[in-house]
Amino acid sequence: MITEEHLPALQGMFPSWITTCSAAGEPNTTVISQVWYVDEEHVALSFQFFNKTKKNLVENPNAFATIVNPGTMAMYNLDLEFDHSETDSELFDDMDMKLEAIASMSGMSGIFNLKAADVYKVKSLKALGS
Amino acid sequence: MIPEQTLEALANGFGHLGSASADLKTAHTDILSASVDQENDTVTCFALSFLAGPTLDNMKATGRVSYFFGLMSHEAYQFKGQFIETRELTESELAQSEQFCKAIAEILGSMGIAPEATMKLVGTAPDLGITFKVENIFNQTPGPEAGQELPFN
Repeated sequence: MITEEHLPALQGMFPSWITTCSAAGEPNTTVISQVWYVDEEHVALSFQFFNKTKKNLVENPNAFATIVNPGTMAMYNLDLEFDHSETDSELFDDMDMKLEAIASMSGMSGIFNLKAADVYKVKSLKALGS
Repeated sequence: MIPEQTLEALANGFGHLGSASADLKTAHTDILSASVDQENDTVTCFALSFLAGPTLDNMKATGRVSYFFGLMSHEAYQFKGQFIETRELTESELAQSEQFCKAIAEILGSMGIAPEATMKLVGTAPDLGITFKVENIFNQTPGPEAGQELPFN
């Protein structure tokens, strides 16, 4: 499902957006700094301070994300299903290091704090407008 | 009254309008600026109809709306509320969106992004107004106050 074409949009160079909703159906939309490639069928999102998103995912595993290729501005919509969280793994360490680099570059060092790498199954991936 | 502190980001921030279906599947769509009706506490988001379909379908079915928008400075907010209607955009709103798109194109250009790429993001004028009544406002600027609800009304 995820191919080489999509990888530039999964390098954290441009913000991504995610919408989740509570069990009661209340949507929540927010920006995230990084969508991380795990394998052809999974991505990971950084769980930092968007607590409502995390709370929603506990209640309802469905999420919708948009990623952007920073070179071409091609956008892709991903239907996601929360799978599991990692706090002690190579994936977590890689994301933590990258996040700190992004924070340093944007003057937000010490504010971004990775609490977990949340791994999602990609149920569909569509180019925006297709 | 929608708080004054959010108005600049509402007009000049890049936004995403979110919704959820009755079976709890979510969607969102790009928004190219928004206008405010302070008398009725409503916001009209400037959307592209060819992209907004699933998001709009959800809103019509469930009524619930989330609108996240933010500036390049990281200042950001999220409004939550009730879908009211879709309508055509006014000349004034189209002019506002055009200014917004020009500003975004300049920012992206200064970051080294090619004009033809930028046009994918802000090269098409919005053709749909999506109006919702604001019920809750949350600070989404990264930092200790992220997630806090702002006093409203």
